[in-house]
Amino acid sequence: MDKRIRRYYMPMTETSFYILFSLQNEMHGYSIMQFVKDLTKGEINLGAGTVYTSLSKMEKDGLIVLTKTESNRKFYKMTDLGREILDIEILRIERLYKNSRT
Amino acid sequence: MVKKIRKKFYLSDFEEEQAFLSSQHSAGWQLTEIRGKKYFFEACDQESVIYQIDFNPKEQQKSEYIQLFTDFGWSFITEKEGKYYFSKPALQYSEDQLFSDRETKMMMCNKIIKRKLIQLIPLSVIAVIISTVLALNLFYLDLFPRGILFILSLIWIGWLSLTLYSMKYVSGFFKLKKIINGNVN
Repeated sequence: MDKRIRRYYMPMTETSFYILFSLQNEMHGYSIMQFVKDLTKGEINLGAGTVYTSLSKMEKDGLIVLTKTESNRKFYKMTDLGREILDIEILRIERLYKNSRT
Repeated sequence: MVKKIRKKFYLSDFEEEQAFLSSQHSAGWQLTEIRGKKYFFEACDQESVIYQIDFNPKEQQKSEYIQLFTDFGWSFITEKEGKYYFSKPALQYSEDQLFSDRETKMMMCNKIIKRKLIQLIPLSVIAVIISTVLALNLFYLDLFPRGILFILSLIWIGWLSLTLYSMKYVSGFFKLKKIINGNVN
């Protein structure tokens, strides 16, 4: 894995985590925001600029890929690299949680 | 009814520009268009509306970009030199902003910083040319009369200091740094 990508995404911001997490299924910008809002019971409300900027960056870095464009909406899905990074992050967060409970 | 206001906002003053547009709207004037330094407004109901600017000068797919913001409830108003103007009715319980985290807001501010640095390029090119001509002239040839070179250098130095030391240009960097460091919820 690229050093630059490792440095940028490990650890990743809460926003990046939730966006990448949602893209285990194919989604577009607004549906990502809705998904994250429901998942966190309204606690995390992603802004339009934040979602757009994150998607562009993650696409450029190869964590997600554009699957289709339908009525001007771009749909994305996680790539193998994205999966790898997400799994590492989940392990890190589990460790963090475990250690903070002891 | 239409009204026109001439006003100059620097790129780094986008927060002031947003506040200006918002206050116009609550006075019953909604933004319709921007041409150069002229802001065009149309009479509307006096409402509390949030205005937000996204600096995104390299956007290739404008319609997809605007569609995403529209999905989030933002109305696209106009675009000027890479600045995209959006508005949304203000709701009491939410402070709606385009950027909900520090990281992405910083990425936008970095685009502005990059643009500000690019603005220095023509100045640097001229600086190199003038110094070269000056050096050649002093040590090897007599290409130009000393007087003309002297005046040229003076003009150039004046221009350089005007740009660099214009409070606005330099303070813009500090302002952006402040925006990055402390804000967003």
